[in-house]
Amino acid sequence: MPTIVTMPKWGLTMTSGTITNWSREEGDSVTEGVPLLTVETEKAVDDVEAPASGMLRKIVAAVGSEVPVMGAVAVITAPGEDLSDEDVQALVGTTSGATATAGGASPRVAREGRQAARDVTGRVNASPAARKRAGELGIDLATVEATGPGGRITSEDVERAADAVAASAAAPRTEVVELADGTKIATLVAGPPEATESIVFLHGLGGSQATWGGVLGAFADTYHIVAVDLPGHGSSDKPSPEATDYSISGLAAKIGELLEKLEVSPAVLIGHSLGGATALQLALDRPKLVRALALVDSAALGSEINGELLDRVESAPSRDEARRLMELFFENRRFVLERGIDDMYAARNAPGADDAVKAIAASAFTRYGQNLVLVGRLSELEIPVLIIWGEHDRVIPATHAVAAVTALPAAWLEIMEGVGHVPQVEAAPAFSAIVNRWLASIPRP
Amino acid sequence: MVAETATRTMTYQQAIQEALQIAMREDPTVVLLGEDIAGGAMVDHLVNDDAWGGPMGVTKGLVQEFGRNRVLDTPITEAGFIGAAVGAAATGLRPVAELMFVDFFGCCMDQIFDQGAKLRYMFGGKAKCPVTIRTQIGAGVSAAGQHSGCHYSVFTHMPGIKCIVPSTPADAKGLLLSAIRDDDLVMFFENKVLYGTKGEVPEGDEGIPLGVADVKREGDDVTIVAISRMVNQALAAADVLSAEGIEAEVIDPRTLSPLDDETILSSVAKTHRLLIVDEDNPRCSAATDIAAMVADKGFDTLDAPIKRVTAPHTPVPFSPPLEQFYVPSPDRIAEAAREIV
Repeated sequence: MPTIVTMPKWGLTMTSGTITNWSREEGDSVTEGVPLLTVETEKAVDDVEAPASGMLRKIVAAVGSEVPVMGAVAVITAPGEDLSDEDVQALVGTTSGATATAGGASPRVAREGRQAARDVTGRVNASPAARKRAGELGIDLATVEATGPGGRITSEDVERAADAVAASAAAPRTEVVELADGTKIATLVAGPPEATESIVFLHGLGGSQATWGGVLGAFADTYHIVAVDLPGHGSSDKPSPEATDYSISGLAAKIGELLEKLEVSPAVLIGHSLGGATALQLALDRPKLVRALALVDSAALGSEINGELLDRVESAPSRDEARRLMELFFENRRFVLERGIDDMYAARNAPGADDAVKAIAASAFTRYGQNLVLVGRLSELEIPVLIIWGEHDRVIPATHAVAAVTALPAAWLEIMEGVGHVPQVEAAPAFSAIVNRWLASIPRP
Repeated sequence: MVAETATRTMTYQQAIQEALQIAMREDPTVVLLGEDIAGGAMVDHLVNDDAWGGPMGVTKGLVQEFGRNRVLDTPITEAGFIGAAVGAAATGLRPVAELMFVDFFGCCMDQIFDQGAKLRYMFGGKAKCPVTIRTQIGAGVSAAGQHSGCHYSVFTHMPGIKCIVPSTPADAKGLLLSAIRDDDLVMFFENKVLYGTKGEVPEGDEGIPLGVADVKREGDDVTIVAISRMVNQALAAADVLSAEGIEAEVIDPRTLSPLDDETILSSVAKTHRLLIVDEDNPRCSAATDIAAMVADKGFDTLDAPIKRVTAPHTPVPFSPPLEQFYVPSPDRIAEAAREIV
């Protein structure tokens, strides 16, 4: 059996990836689990391992090609297997990437969906089975595309329509919430409609909800997830520092209001760096809104902070500054991507963004240390707490994690080896696994 | 898991003969009646040991084993010997009569319909009529309009008659054994075009229960219910359709009375599409009856109209090209399936 190598889906919002390297050439032997190619996405670059052992029979997508998720990139033949070029073509043709057939497992001759036929009274032409299924699933037949002969809606068409409705409900979407002071907060929301537990993600200084792109997918099948753009960041409003409170407690108050407006409290809060401090402040100020807290390389757990961060923040935005900041964040240099640098530079140049980031930084820390240290209040928390830290964090040292757990012995501690300040990007799968294990240990609401 | 049963390859005709032989050996009240079913064998002045055994030789050799008292040649008088068989069944024997061609049923319909089929009913269950009437059906051998019809639909219409339409040698053997052992009047329809077809037939004397359909081929896309020889036509059509990506499920009801509604309905619930293939004439027919049953009990499972591929509403033509056109072909079956898938 030949094996089709396909473009993986790494993040919740990943739709395609660009191939930057093939480690093997056509005709080479390959071993299952050994890196075969390198793929770059908007958020990350990583190796794709060979899904089977055998011979790399055909490279379908050359270096530089952008391939949709699940699209074919290569074909591996089993040892001794002979495969003609026509067979390769036929195999690859069965994989059409993101447009792969949804629902309806039948191999029946594919017909294009079209508008259902109607009779003179306007009654939609739908089969008896389709009418019954539509009633059961609550699908309006007028919205269903027909594939049956003569424009008749079949029961499979109804199933497909129902799947699409469910998929669109679970698909990530942007929700914008306006707070009482008029600030609009943008959030990325996803998860199955039936999910009852909410997880709210708060990013760090100068970031956006996109920082969680590589890990949200690990939670979106089970939980209702909300990834927030903090005020002054991403797609949220960026009011001038004179008009708003950019202190950590000011941010925490806004997030508290957001949780109430979204009706997701009590929620699990996962905060990174500045977002961690914000989450912690909110949990202390309004404990009823937070049922568990995960702090990732978080601020406010000690006074130290790398002064270089302030240099970067205070300097005029440029691509070089953005690159230096990325180099400070990541232990593994291959995460310092040109695209990421472009994104960061563009974000800093968004109207109001630079002022907001500078105001928040000025409030939170100086060259001599963090202004807000909440370690002494950790013992007030009566909820499950997870502390995650990158071993090689050069922004806020991992010793803060130890201090936090000393102050709150019930907390769950995970130090991630070989990782810098942003473990959710640098070690996304391991990060997701840790958080999921911790989530599983939390009492259900 | 059914235990492995030893099988032998034999023709449809040999399978029927073997069933008759087994039934006659196990029950001395089983007797055969029919025109020329013994022939000249064992008659001194005819000296013809290698008698015909019916026009197709189905009963050939049985008179040698069981003698002229159990294999009775009758005059060419259907009313007489079918009537005799019904009377013998009512008074203790278990006769198997051979109505040479089903087209002759008009000559003996009173004996079948108004006597044999109603005996148990008319006597309040005190009488029984364990008679089996074997008869030939089917077009395809240029036997013209009076020797080529199917007409099992006529008998399916009548209460008190069981109707069997075997399509394979194995089904022919197992169903005939059950027919002979059954205590009611059973019509056993042998398709003359199938007599030479070969298949694996289980050894032994196991009967196949009446009223249990057989799924001859599994598929998810369209259910094809096919009767008698049409099972083979449907299987050929299914191969063509499969190459196009359409997987047909072919169901052989095997008995039209009783009919296995359940197997047909559950298949349609899976495929949502039904095609019925029947060589009989289409009006008030078995195909129409099955279509009505599914429309009634399985309406909400249908994704397409129920289709029938049948003979036209005419007698069987003698002209070979017309006769070929008369019988549903794999092409017509595949085309009808494509229309609803």
